[in-house]
Amino acid sequence: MKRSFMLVFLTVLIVAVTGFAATPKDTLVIGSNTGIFITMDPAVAYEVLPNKIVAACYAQLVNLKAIDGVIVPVPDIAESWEISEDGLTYIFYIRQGVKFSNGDPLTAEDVLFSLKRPILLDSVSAWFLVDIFGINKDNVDEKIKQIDENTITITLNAPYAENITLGILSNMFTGIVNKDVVLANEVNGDLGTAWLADHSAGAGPYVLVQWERNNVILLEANPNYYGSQPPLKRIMIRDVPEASNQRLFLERGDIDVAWDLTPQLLTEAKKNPNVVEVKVPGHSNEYLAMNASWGPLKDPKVREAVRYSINYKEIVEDIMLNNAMLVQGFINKGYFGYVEENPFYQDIEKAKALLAEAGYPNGFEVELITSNTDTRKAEAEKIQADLAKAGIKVNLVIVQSSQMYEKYRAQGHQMIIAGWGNDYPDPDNLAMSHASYRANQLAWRNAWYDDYAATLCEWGQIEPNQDKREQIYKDLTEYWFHNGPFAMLYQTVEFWGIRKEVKNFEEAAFGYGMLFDFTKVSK
Amino acid sequence: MEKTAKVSRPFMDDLKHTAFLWRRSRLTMIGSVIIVIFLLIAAFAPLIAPYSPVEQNLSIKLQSPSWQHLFGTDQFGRDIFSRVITGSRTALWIIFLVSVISGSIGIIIGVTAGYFGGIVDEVLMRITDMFLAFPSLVLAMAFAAMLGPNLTNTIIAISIVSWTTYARLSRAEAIKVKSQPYIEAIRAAGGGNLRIMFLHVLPMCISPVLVQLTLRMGTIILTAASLGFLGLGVQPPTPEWGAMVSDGRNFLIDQWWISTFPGIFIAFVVLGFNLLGDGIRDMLDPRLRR
Amino acid sequence: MNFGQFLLRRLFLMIIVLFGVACIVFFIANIIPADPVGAILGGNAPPEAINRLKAKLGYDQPLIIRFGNFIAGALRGDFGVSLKTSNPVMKDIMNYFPATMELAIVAIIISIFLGITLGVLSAVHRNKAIDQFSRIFSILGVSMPVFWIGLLLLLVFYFKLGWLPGGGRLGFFTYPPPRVTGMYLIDSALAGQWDTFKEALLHILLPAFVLGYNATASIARITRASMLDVLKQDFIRTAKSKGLKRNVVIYRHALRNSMIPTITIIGLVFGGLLEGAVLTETVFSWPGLGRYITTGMLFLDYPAVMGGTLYIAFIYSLANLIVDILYALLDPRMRM
Repeated sequence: MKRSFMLVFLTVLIVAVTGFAATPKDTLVIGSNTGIFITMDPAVAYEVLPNKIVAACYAQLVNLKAIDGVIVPVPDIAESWEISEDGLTYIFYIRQGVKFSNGDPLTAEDVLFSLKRPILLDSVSAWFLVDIFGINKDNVDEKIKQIDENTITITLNAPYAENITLGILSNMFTGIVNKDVVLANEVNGDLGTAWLADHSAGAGPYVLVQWERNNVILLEANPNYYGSQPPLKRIMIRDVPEASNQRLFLERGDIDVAWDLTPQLLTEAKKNPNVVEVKVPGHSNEYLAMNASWGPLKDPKVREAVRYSINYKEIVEDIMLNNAMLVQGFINKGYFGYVEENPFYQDIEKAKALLAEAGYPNGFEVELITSNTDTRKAEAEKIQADLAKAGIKVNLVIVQSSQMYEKYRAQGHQMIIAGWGNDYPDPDNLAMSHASYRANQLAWRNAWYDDYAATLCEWGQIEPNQDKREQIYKDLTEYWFHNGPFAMLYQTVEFWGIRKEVKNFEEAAFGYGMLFDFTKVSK
Repeated sequence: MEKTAKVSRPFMDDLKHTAFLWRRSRLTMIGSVIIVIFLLIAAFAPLIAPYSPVEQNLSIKLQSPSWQHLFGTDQFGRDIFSRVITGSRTALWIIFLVSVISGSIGIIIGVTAGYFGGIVDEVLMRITDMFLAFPSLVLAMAFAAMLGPNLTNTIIAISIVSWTTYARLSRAEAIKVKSQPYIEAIRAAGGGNLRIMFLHVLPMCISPVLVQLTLRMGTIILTAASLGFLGLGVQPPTPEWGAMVSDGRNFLIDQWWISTFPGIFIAFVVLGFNLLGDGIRDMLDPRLRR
Repeated sequence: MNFGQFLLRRLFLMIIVLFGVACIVFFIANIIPADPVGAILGGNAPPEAINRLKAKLGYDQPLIIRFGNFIAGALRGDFGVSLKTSNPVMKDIMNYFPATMELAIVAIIISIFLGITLGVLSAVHRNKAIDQFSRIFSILGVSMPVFWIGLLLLLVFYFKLGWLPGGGRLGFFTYPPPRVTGMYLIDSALAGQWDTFKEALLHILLPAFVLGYNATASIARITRASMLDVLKQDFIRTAKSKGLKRNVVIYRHALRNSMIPTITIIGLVFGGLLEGAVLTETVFSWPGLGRYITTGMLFLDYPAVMGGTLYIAFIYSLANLIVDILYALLDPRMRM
C-alpha cells in the first residue's frame, strides 16, 4: 500500500517537471500582498497601491507628473484652468473628444457627477474636500457647478495656495467615472459604489477586467484611451501574501515584479543575475512620536534626550540596508521648504545628562506601540535597545495597524513608531499634520498643543509668495526639531525587485506613493 | 474497574512494574531524556548561554554558525545560541502556565458536569461544544488581539482554547467514579456534594488529565508559534522559539540558521513530550500492564 | 430512543451550539479595542471623517440592537456586507469556501490513505523498525510548526528542484474551469479540461500534504491503537486458528473492525483541517476561507470575521453530526 502511494507520488512529481514558462511578453506580472485592498472605486479607494491601480483605469480632473524630479499637478481631463480674483473659485475647462473605455464620450456632466460623488457617498478618502475645502453634502450643489458644456467650477472656503488646491484635487477621488454606466449599475442608491469596487468605468489607459479577491487583479489596455497606447497590453497583480514567496517567484521568473520585499530579501534576491533592484525616493516618512501629555514625555528635555539616544545611522544602514534616507525634518527631500540639516545623532552621554537635568537620572519605563510589519518590528527592537543604553526601559506592544491607530487617535499611546504618507505634493500637508494640533492630526494625537507652530502652519497655507512660504516652513522646522514630539527616523525609499527584462520601471515608479505610471513600463 | 484493581495492588510493586515498563519502551526513555535535558537547559540557561540574549551588536549581524557563535547571529547581531537557550525558559513558562490553567478549567468544568449530570451537565457540555466548534486558532487570534499581545495574554489565549479536551475527559471519568460503591458510602455517611466532588471524585480524574496534558504540551508551543507567525505572540526582545522561527522565515533561504535552530528545538521538545505522553499512556493502559 | 428522535435531538443541540458560537463571535468582535472604521480610513484621516463613517456603518447604534440585527441576519444566512469587499459576506464565503473545501478534502484523502497504511503497518509489526519509523514520522508531523514545514517544502520542491508550483490554485495564466462546484479539480474534470486538471492537481499537492500531515499523524496513531486492540480479540484468534491467511485476517477482519475509532477521529481532524487552513493558505497563497478570515481579522472586517467563523463552526458541527449519524447506524448503543 505504501509502495503504491510512493509510486503515485513520484509519477506526479515527474509529470510536474515539464517546467514553468516565463511570463508573456505583453504582460507585466506583479506579486503583491493584496490582502489589504478594499475597493477599486475611485471615489473611495485610499491605500497606496490600490490607488495607483485605480489611477491606471481613470483619467482625472488634474493629475500628477514628475517633471525634473519634482512632482507637480498637470492637466488631465481639465485641459486648463483659471482662478478667480479672490482665489476662492477655480474654473476648469474640460478636454474635448475624450472617450470612456466603452466608447461613450466624456462630458462635463460626467465630470460634475464624478466630483460630487465622493461627497454624496460620504467617502472617507474625500475628507480633504470636506475638512479642508469645506464642501459637504448640504452645500455641494453651490460649491461644485457646471457652467456650460465644457466648464466646471469649484469654490473653496479659503484662498489656498494654488499648489495645495491642485495637489488635493489630483487625488484619486477626482477620477472621472462614466455617469450612465455607473447609474445603470446602481443598487439601493449607492451611486454604483458596490459595482465599481471590482469594475471600472473610466477613461484611463487601462480597464479593470477582473478582480478575484485574494487571488488576482487583471488590467487590460483601454483601446479608446485618449493618449497613446501603453506598451504593455496587460497588467496582472497576483496575491502573494508572504514576502519570502514573492522573492522565490521572482527568482524563478513566475512574476516580473516583487512588490513587498523586505530590504534583506531584496539584497539577497539581487544576487541573482536575472533580478534587478529599483529604488526611488519615497513620499512618506517613518517616525518615533512621543505623547507630550504622558508622564516624563511632557518634559521637552526628556523628548530631546530620546532624540539623542537613537542611532539613526544604524537604522538606515543596518535595519533598512540603505533603503531609506536620513531626513530628520518633516518636509521630504524634493519638496520646497526641505531642511538639509540633520541635528540629531546618538550621544548617550548627552541623553543621560538631559535626563538627569529633567529629574530622571535613572531613566524611566515607557510603552512603545507599533504595527506588526517586519520593518516596524525591527525598528522597534532597535530603538528599544538604543533607549536602554540611556536608561529608558521600553516595553514593546506590537499590534495590528488598525489597533495601533485606534490607540493613537485616542491619544492612548506613550510612544509610537508610525509613518506618514503624503496626500498631496505640498509641504502644507506635512506641516499641518506634524506641527499644527488644530488640524487634528499627528501633532494633536501627540498632544503637542503649540500655538506658535500652529499659527506658522496656517500662515504658510495661504501665503501666496513662494519664497516667503519656503521661509515659513524652514523656520517652523527649526522650532519643531527641538520642541516637537517627534524623532524623525528617515524618509522612505521605495524599492522593488524586478526581472531584468522589464524596462523603464524606474521611470514609471518615480514618485511612487504619489503616482505610478504603468504606461511607461515595457518588456 | 481496572482502576480499583490497580489501587488495591501494593504501591511499591506497582512502582516497580511501572519502572519496568518504562525501561522496556525505548521511545519513552528517549522522550524522558529529552524532557530532562530541556528542564536542565531551562534551569541553567544563564550559565549555559555565552552571551546576552537581548543585547544587539549590528556590526556582527547575520553571521553564519561558527565556534564563536555556535548557531550564528540574527539580524540584530544577537547570539542565536544564547537566545535559543534562554528561550527554553519562555517555552517552559508558557507550557507550565497553560497546562495549569487549562487543566484546572477543564477538570472543574468536566467534574462538575459529570458529577451533577442533568441540566448542569447539558449546559456545561454545550459550552464545551461551542468552544470545540470554534476554529481554535481564530479564537486564540481573537483573544490575543482583544487582550493585547504579550506573554501573559498569549498564555491566557492559548488556555482559553485548549481546556475543552480536559473537560470532556474528566467528565467521562467523573461519571465512572461517581457510580462507585465507595462514593455512595461516603454520601451515606453524610458527605456533602462539594466535599465529595473535590476530595473524592476530582482526584480520580487527575491522572488521565495529566496524561492528556503531557500529550498536548507540544501543541502548546506550536500554538504559541502560530500566533507568532500571525503576528500575535510574545513581544520582543523576549526570546521565544515560535517568534524566532516566524521572524526568521524571511531569512530562511540565505540565513537558514536564524529560524532553523529554534525550529529544531521546538521539534525536539515537542517530540520529547509526545514520546513521553505516548509512553505514559501505554504504561497506564491496564490492558498492556497485564 | 429511535433513530428519528436521536436525529432531532442532535439537530437541536447543533442549533444551540451554533447560537452559542454566534454569541461568542459577536462578543469578541465587538469588544476588541480596535477600530474597523479607522482600519478602512488608514492613518491619515482626521477624527471628523471617522465619526462620519461610523455613523454611516451603524457602529454608533447600541450593542444590543446590533446583536439583534446580527442574529436575525445570520438566521437567514445573511451575515451583512463585508466592510472590505463590499460584497454580502455570504457571497464571499461561497466564493472562497470551495477552495478551502477542496484543499481539506484532498488533504483528508492523503492523510486517510497515508495514516491508515502507517497505522496498520505499525500495529502488525509492533515495535519493529516500521513501527518506530511510523511513530517518528507522525510525531515529527505534530512537532514542527505548520508554516515552517510549508516554507521548507516550498524551498525544496519549488525553488530548488522546480518540480511543483510555488502557490496559488492554478498557474498564473490558466483560466479557471467553468464554475460548477468551485472546486477546480472537479470542475475541470467535468468540463473535460484535463490540462487544467493536471495543473490544479500539481498546485494542490504540497498544501494538501502540509495541511494533512497533522491529520495523518492522528489517524496513524488511532488506527495503530485500535488495530492492536482488535488483533488481541478472540475472533481474530479464532480466525487465525482456523488457518486463514495472515493478510486476510489483518485486512478483512481486523481492519474493518478497527474502523470505528478511526471514523471518529476523521470527523474530528476534519475540523482541525479547516482551522489549519488559516496557516496553510497564507503560506501557499491559497485564496480560501481561512485567508479570508485572517485578512478580515487584520482588517477588522467584523462582518467577514463573524460570518466566516460561524460558517466554519457550522461545517465543523455538520461534519460531527454526520460522524455521529454514521456511528449510530454502525452501533445502536451510541444513540444516547
